[in-house]
Amino acid sequence: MSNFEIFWSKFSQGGGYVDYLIGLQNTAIIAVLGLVIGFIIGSLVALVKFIPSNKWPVKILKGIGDVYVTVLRGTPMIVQLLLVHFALFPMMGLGWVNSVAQAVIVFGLNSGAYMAEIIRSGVNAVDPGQMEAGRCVGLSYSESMIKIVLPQAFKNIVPTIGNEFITLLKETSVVSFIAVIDLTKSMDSIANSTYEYFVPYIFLAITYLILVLGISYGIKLLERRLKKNERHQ
Amino acid sequence: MNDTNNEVILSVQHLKKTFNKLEVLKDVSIDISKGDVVAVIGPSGCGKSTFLRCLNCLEDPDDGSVIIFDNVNIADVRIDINEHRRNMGMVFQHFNLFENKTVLENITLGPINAALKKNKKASKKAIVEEAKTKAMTLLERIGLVDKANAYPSTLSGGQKQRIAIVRALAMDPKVILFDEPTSALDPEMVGEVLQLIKELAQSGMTMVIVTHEMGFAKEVANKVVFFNEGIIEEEGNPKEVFANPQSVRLKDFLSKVL
Repeated sequence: MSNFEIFWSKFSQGGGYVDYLIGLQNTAIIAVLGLVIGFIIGSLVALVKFIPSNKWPVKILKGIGDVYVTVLRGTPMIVQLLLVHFALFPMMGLGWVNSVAQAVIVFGLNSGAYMAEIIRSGVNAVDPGQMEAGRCVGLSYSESMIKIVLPQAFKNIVPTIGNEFITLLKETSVVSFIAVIDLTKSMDSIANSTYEYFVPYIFLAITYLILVLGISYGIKLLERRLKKNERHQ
Repeated sequence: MNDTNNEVILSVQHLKKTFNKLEVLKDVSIDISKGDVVAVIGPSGCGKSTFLRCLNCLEDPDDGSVIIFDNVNIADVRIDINEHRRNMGMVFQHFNLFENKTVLENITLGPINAALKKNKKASKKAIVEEAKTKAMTLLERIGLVDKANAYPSTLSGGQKQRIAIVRALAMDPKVILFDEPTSALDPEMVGEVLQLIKELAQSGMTMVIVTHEMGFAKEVANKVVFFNEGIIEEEGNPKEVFANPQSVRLKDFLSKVL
């Protein structure tokens, strides 16, 4: 049997495709929900940073945000995953929580730290004159932020968020450490049971590549939509 | 217009502004009456722009400063500055039109927001319609009706600045502040913007204009204020100030710019 035939018999008749589809689903769930949760957490952390007040409750919130970003960006995702799955959750009596859900939580928290920085730099990149002009037509700080600054900031950061999504998607390959079947794990199983490595791993690489190209294309479409106001009428 | 007996609308008393120990404004006092067109001139770094930005609290004046506008001291940090800014228009050197809004939205954003706050029971639809109608009238006045649905990035500098002026006007302000309104424009577009400001002056609008256009200051202003090193070094009627400057520094300045 050729390399491909070995792979194919395992994939089609040996149930390999079931794992592959489950893996695809888990990879997608973890990456997409991770991104969404990350965006929500990141927005909150970034916006707290922009509260123009030095009162102590705000200072404490800003401090918590700083520590969160430093810790989550300063340690590898795999370490965070292991820590949560094997130590923190069992210690809190949450060991029964589904592993995919645990991965989603870790990915969301990790991504949130990066998102906070992405959003902060996006807001900083908007010309300060935009905020001033908003204030000068009688809008408050938060109204100017919501109606004028944030929409422009969002347009600036769409490509960076796309990169974050791609990174997140590829990084899902570490979840096999906590016994979640993802794309990598599904092909790994085939390779290990057939001792035929080339075809499954190439197949795996192509799968990731197609997913990434799809995301890139989606981001490009979104960017083009958001840029409509730079076009002549 | 330019009646010197008019009521004082903006009274600045002992305005001081310090940035990290750098005293930009030392002790500035000036009264501006209804219908006044005040040209603020002076060398770079003398505090002209800071003075203007303090007038609507884009920069917070130092403690002890008093800016009486509409019978309220807006330098007091406890007042609602948003409410008072609605009566004070501002036109920037770099236009600062809202990049994510159309021309029409740029003009109506402030008025709609203000009207909704003032009259919570009114129907939003009626307020929006009214603001739109008014904005279109203003656009007609500057001949840019066809740009109502265009975005700022598609406009020339002169068009942007005229729209920025109209945006300020749409708020029905009692005073409009201009921060070097023509400095960022291509030379061929300076004229159209100055013409619009001149028309406003003739209609009796109270204005404070930081400018380097001396000819324009001479022609349009009824009061010229010369800033130097954080103080008002000389002020008066433009004809006198330009023809017969008193201070050495002003003579030197005018010899370089005229």
